[in-house]
Amino acid sequence: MEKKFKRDISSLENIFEFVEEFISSYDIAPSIMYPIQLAIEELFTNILKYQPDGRSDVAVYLEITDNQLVIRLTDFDSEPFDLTKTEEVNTSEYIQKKKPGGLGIHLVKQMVDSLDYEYNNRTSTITLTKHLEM
Amino acid sequence: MFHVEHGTDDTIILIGRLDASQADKAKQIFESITESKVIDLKDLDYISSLGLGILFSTQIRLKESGHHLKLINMNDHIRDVFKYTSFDKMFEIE
Repeated sequence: MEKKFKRDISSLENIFEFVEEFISSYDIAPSIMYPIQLAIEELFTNILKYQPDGRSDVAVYLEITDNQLVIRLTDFDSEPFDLTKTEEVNTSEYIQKKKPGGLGIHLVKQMVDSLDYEYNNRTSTITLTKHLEM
Repeated sequence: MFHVEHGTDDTIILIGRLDASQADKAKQIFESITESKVIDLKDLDYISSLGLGILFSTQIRLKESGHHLKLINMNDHIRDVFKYTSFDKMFEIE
């Protein structure tokens, strides 16, 4: 199931509804909702923050296959930004420095089992997978 | 949606979902806190990194003047998020 969302913070509510509708149509634990919504929010807001000149909508694709939830965000108008290569966050260090940063991607990495990035012809595709207890 | 209610004594109750679209509202509320408060999360369903950052900055600012935020009644998902970010070491959590 795929849906395109306007490149704006106000789209978050519709994205959450889209995820909720998808998850609740399967017989899977509703507790999956929080980590999935969180991961998608962090990636979507990351696009808004780091790709401010992009003009396209952002597509969110969800699929369940082989006991895995596959989540894909596609930004059709972006500069390359491979978030799988971002430096690991040292949470103790930023507590000492008293400045939080990079928390969003750090949380995404904690919430999912895999995170991949592809870039081709101004299109960034971020794919996440999460194993499901079914 | 996200909003707050003021409970008895020094308690502030967070209600709803604190996602990035609500961050400005949350920031305004937390920036007005100048002394120790208990933050009751029993009705907070969701928080993401922007909300965490606001709590973090408030805690840092308050600690500089000898005050702090104490967090109570957080649900299991939010507890996980605090653990993953090590923010559980920054706050008194009950």
